[in-house]
Amino acid sequence: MAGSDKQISYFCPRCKSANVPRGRALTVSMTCKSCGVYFVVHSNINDTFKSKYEPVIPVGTKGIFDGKTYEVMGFSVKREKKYRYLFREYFLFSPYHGIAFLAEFDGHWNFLKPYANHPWSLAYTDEDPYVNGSMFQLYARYRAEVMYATGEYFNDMIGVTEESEHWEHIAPPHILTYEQSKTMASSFIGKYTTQDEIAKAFKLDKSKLPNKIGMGYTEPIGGSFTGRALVVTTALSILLAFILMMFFANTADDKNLLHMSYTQADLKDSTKMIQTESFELVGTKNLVLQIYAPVENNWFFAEYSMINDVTNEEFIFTKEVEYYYGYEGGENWSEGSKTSEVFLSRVPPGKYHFNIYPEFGTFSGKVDVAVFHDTVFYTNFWLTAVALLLFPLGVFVFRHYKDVKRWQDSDYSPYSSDDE
Amino acid sequence: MNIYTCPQCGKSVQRKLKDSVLVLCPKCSAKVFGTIDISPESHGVPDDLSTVQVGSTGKYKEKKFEVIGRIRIQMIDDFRNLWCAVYDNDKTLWICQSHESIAFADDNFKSFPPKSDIVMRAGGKVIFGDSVKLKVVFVGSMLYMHFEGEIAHFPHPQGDFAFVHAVNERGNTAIIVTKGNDMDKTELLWGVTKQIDQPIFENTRTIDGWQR
Repeated sequence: MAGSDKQISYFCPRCKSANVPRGRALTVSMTCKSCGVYFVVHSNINDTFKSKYEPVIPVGTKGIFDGKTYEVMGFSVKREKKYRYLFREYFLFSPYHGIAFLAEFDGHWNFLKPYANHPWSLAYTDEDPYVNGSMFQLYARYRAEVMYATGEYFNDMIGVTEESEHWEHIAPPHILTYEQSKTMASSFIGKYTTQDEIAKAFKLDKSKLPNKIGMGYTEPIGGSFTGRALVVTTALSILLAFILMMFFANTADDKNLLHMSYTQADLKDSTKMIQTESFELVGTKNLVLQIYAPVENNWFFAEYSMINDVTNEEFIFTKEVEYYYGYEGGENWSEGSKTSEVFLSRVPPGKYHFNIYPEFGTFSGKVDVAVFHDTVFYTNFWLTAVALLLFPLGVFVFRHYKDVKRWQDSDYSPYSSDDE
Repeated sequence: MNIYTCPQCGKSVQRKLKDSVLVLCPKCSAKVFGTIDISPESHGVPDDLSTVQVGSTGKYKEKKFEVIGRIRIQMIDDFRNLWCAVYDNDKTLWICQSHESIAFADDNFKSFPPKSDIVMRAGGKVIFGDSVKLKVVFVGSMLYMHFEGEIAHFPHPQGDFAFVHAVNERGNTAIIVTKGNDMDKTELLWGVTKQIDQPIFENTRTIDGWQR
């Protein structure tokens, strides 16, 4: 036995029409189906509305959230008293799953369920609540008035709304609400719900839902990964790149195959060219040519031809060394360098020599040339690290931008000093 | 032994608690046993779409209980279902159900301890002795009260009381029934609160016209 089956009906205090509440004995307030007057069934409280608003989800519509079927029992339009913006609430109920709310503002929706463990309900504190592993930040504190209501409610919805102070804390996509009047303190926990989810839950045409305006205050910011996951993944990737770099550094030969010096006087008259000794490259590895020319406010240029002694295959490149310095405007300055380096990757094995075609210009010093094989190239690691950092950096910048937008309508924005 | 015949409809009714104070006939809501009197309008509970019913079962602290009766308290703005259950064979378990929470108290209503006080508003303090403090989350004046099944001791069965629900961060709950904030006329149930959406009951009711 779970209560009498006797039908309950309440008479409208204005038009005297009989109203049978869908919520039976649970219903505490309702609007008259004939004249629309709002009345509290156990008292003589009643109210009328100046404006009428149409719900996009009609009262009586059934919707499924997390596999649970709820029915829309009531629809109300409320106005925040200080900034006077309107928001809409749908009161949902299921005998099997209890009460719930859908709140909509600027086309953004939150689905809310009762939550008895709000830290403010349990203790005397006004700190930002820490719930389910998340710190919720105060987004709004307000009082509201009811502009319109239809359907039925399990409390005096107008009285409770207008006599309560409301706090909303967010940890996107979650929201935690707390409201307190003289007679009750209650709390709800909810989550941002997309228009697609609303349309699917109630089998509605998505185009009928209010257009989204701006950033929803609990709207998640792109991507399902957390900031912490992003930092950890990036750090691990950079660590892996470092380990690989260290591995290659330890296994690299870094062998000096050639070291020679020459001056302009060493050039062969006929070809104006220097030919080096031959050197053997074992394995397809990189090769580095290092050049040192002691130029002073001068330059040195050469064309280099690395020739395979057997196949005559040629690798041709040029390299300039230039170094300038001076004293100007009370300050010393310099640019360029006396050393230069050429990096050749994946050079096939074989016996090679260099033909060097230098242009000394006004420079007449001694030029040093050294050839190293299978060297460690640290720049690769730094380039990889920078590339790995670019993505999370971009994500953080994007998220910060969106988060600033999220908080722009809040009196409690953590970015308020940045914006001013 | 503990079997009564309903004086109105003749149904045979078993009394399950040693210390019950009222047993109403499950068929016609007539009083079949009782040491207290309730008003005629309080016999039987209006349908509030509760899926819990007399006969619903469950487990609390790993021990079985069976719901045997209910007091439904209607306040102007809210309600509470106080389900009375037989627990751990012959003890009383009260289960206080609201829209927001469900509280369990495996004891009977007790007098308020000395050095206690209640600030009768939401957010007010309930103080027991020198140390225990709870925060009031609900205060309501009883408007109507309805009974069904078998009920253990309840402080003011004729009504005209205020109902106070207080909690603390340790999960403790106090269900307080008071008259005029007079501590001599105040009793409480001491229990714990659980989230409303936790599965608790078996043998619940299926309600026509509502989908799961």
